[in-house]
Amino acid sequence: MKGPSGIERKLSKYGYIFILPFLLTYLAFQLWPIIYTILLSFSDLKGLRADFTLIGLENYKKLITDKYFWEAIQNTGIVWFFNFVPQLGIALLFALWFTDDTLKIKYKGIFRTIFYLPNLLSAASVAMLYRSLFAYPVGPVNSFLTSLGIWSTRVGENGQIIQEAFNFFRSVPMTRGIVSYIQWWLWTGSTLILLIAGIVGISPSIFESAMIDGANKTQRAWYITIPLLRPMMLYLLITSMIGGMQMFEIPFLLTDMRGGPDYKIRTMMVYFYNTAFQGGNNYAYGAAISVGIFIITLILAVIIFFMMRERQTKVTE
Amino acid sequence: MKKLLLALVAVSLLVLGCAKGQKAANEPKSLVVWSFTDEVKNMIDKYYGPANPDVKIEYSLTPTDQFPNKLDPVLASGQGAPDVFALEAAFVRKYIESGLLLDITDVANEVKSKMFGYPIEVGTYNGKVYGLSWQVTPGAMFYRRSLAKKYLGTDDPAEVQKYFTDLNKFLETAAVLKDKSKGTCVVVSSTGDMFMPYKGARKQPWVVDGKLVIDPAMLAYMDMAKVLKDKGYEGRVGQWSEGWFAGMKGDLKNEKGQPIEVFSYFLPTWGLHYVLKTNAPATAGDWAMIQGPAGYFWGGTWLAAYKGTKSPNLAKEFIKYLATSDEFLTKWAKDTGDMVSNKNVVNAIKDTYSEPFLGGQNHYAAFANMVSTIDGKLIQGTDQAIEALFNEAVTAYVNGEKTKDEALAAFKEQVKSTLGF
Repeated sequence: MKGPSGIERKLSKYGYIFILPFLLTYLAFQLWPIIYTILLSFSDLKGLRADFTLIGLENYKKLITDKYFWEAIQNTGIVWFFNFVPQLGIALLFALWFTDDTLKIKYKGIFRTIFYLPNLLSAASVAMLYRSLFAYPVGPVNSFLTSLGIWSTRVGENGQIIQEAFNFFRSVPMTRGIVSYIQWWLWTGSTLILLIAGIVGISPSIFESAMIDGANKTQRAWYITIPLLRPMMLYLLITSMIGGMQMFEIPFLLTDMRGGPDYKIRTMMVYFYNTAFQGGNNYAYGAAISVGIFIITLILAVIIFFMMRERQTKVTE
Repeated sequence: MKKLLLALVAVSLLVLGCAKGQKAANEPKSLVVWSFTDEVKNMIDKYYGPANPDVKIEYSLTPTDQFPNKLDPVLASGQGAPDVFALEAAFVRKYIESGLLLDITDVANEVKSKMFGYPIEVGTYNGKVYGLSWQVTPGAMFYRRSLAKKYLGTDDPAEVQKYFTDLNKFLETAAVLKDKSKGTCVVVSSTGDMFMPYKGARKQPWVVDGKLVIDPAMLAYMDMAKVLKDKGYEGRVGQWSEGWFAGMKGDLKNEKGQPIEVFSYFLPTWGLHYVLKTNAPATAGDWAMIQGPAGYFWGGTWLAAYKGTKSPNLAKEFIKYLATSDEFLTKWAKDTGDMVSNKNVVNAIKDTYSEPFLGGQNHYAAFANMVSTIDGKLIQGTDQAIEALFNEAVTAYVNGEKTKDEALAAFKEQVKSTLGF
């Protein structure tokens, strides 16, 4: 290979000049905060101070033995799982229907818009909306349930059975379910659009030849569409997982800002916020938590990346 | 050319240096003031400004929930810090204890004799005063006159108080209300309403020598909340929820559509004007206030200055005027009805009030009598964080999710993990 000629070298200078604004912004507002966070995680910065000393691995030692950190990971995982599986399943079903020309669905565009709409709402207003929907003892959902004769029961002090409305936000499974549902409701639309794009991108000739070979609709979906959508689904898995790791606003605002009841809705980001910005202002430990979240996300992403690579080599074989 | 430039720089540096020197000797007649409500702005615009036309004030408002997040970094770094700022009761101690505030002990000593005690106690740390307040916010028990007449046979505050002299008597009366009303009348709408009176009844703060202390009053609060819930003496709504406000208006209903009558609300001075009056205009005149089972205070705003301010003397004068001046506070109390922290002013005007919302009762005099029982020494910077964790424990216990011991053990562990006590 020949080196760049004089004119190329002259022109490439402009390339660097053009990316300079981005590079400077990136260094100042992206890279430096990341480095600073990592630095803080080795320090003892706490409360209303600006000066700190480096104390080595103390924060990480605490992090590894902190049962609330591991509980937060578990909480995040559960809430994310019950959001992602139905999200992918239902979005896939709708994507298959919407791309199936034989079904002749009218107003597809309107449906897609409607499914996407929740994504445009701000998380804060969504959380407030669901808080009042599931209000206790009187709220829309409770009124609906009691009108159907569905009551929560408890045994009173005299042994009699008392019928009551459901106190949703004092039940761990209910609250987790509501958070998962909100996440599902917010993100299904965008998953749907990406899956539709993925299906439309599959070459029609494959479907045509399958049809000639006599494959029915289910077989086409099962043996052609879904396998060929795998890269798209893995992309969705990774982005959703990264988003899920950072799940904050809904669990924060839907509960008492601490992930109650019993701190079982306290996701990693809520725990981080509680530590760093509420009460003790323990910035150093908060930084260690966020580095911990970063490492876990990285490990999971790498695992999925290798899974994806393996699949792809098999496909090309 | 270069030499000329150098000379220019040297001269400009010299001028700047001189200017700076002059300023230090004669501090700037301007203050940057931060607050989270428009109260302080009104004070500046309508009273302080006209009285001190030569002082330039730059005012900035940030909502309460974001205020500490905005203040923390500038105070810690000193860059862009305001000279004077308002601090809310929920977080005032965090700053008082921070070592970043201007020592205003001299101002406090000057005015101490004419001021109510507890706001100064709240503003004191290690024997030095860092914050002063223009108001006192004693808490009272507000009850519905019609319900008192119906079930207790009297609506006279002095008589009703006899039914609520202490926390045991309070429970007895709660039972009376429930029995006589055949279950429709609850003494409070939410167990959370009882927290502030119990907090006021404590003898120890939350943290002593770096260790968490659970005062017996707080344990008693847990028991009380459990009894209220189990016996159905409360309306099962959360504070500040729709149902809580509905109870004030007298139209709270349970899930079966049956009406619930809420006998009382525990609220402080501002609660009368900004919570009851604004949310329950239909029940105006049907309310009265008593001390209830325990004295307490709730909320309030303090003024403090940054220790690195360029105008410490002006900042002190500013705080002294807003928080203590007889002349200003008289006008302020008359114009807004605020309960001020200056005893002279309160004593001079307290007998002139008659509140139509409370059926003509003199709320000002009643509040004034409640201030003396308040202990301001128990408030600490970490209260808010600890109490949020404590409330989760209480709720878990009250709802039967955990036993009392389990709930308390979980609470202690959470405090240790998130706050280090």
